[in-house]
Amino acid sequence: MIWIPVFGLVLGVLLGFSFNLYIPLQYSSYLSIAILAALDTVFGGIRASLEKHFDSSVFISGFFFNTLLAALLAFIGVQLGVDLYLAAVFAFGVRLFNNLASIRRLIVNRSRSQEKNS
Amino acid sequence: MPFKPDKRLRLTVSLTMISVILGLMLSMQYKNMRVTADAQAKLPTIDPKAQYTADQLNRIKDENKGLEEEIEKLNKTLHGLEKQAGDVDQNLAPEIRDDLTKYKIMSGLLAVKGPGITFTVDDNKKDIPADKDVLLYITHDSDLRMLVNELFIAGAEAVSINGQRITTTTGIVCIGTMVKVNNQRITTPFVFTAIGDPKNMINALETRGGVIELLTRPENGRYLTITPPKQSPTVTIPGYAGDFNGMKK
Repeated sequence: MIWIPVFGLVLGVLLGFSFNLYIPLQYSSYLSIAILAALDTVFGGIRASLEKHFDSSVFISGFFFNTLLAALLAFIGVQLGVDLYLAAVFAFGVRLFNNLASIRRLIVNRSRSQEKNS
Repeated sequence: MPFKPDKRLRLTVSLTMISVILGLMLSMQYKNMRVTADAQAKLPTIDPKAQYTADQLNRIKDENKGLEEEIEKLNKTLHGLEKQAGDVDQNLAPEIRDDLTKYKIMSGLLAVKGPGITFTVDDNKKDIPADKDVLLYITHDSDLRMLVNELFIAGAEAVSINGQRITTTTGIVCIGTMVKVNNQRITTPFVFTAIGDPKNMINALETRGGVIELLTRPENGRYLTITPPKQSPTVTIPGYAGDFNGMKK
């Protein structure tokens, strides 16, 4: 069951490579910010599912909202001459690491409690 | 079970959906990066100077390939002709065959072997004083001509410089930093090989006021380096492979 999202990821990568989909080069930086936001959301979702308060509508809306917002922020930053994408990189980076740390802690705790139970 | 089945299903479905989109984004970004990296890798070759040099190199390589093919073709023809000539030779009377060989040697077509001498002529490699003329320290075509003349006068039957046989129509001429002999460019050190009476030739070269003194003695105004002629019981001199100023062999 847990492997299905991983297959989804592989499927997405394969789709991207097999079809001639290109983002114009000048939007590449927005895409990278969007990817960072998406990664953050995915890890947030995994963390939420481990903490057992996962909500799929929150998760999906958060994914698209964060992604688009990050890209938009970067775009506005470019228009205004302010490196706003740095803020996005910073914020999402910190959150990403926080999420990863939480996931790690949750898994460690869970395996410990399982040891105790067995 | 902490999760209700449908909740778990929803989790999986939404995660999968998002993963597909994330994978798509990742692959597109990766492709973009690859395009950028490729473009950067291609940049240096656009340097016009390097491009020009590369083009020239390729053109010369092609030319060389063509010439090599031509050599191969000509060699095949030559072998055929030699075989024919051999057949002709066999049919000739012995005295005529001897004559033919003699003329071939005289004209420089046949490779010859026999007692002879070798020596090397080279530029003076020492530091040239600022007040002296550089031209007095380097080997000229005229020096080579002088030496060749001296050798023939002293009874040489065959002479070669750096493997280039001196034939009846061989010219020795300066072309900048090299010397053209038999339409081939040769350069220092010039190795002379001559077949003939070794003693005669050595005496002629080394005689007082002779060619070697003229070219190597500072009091004569020249500073070349010429190794003492070495006598040898057998030296080999290759035959001339080209044509005689357009005449067929």
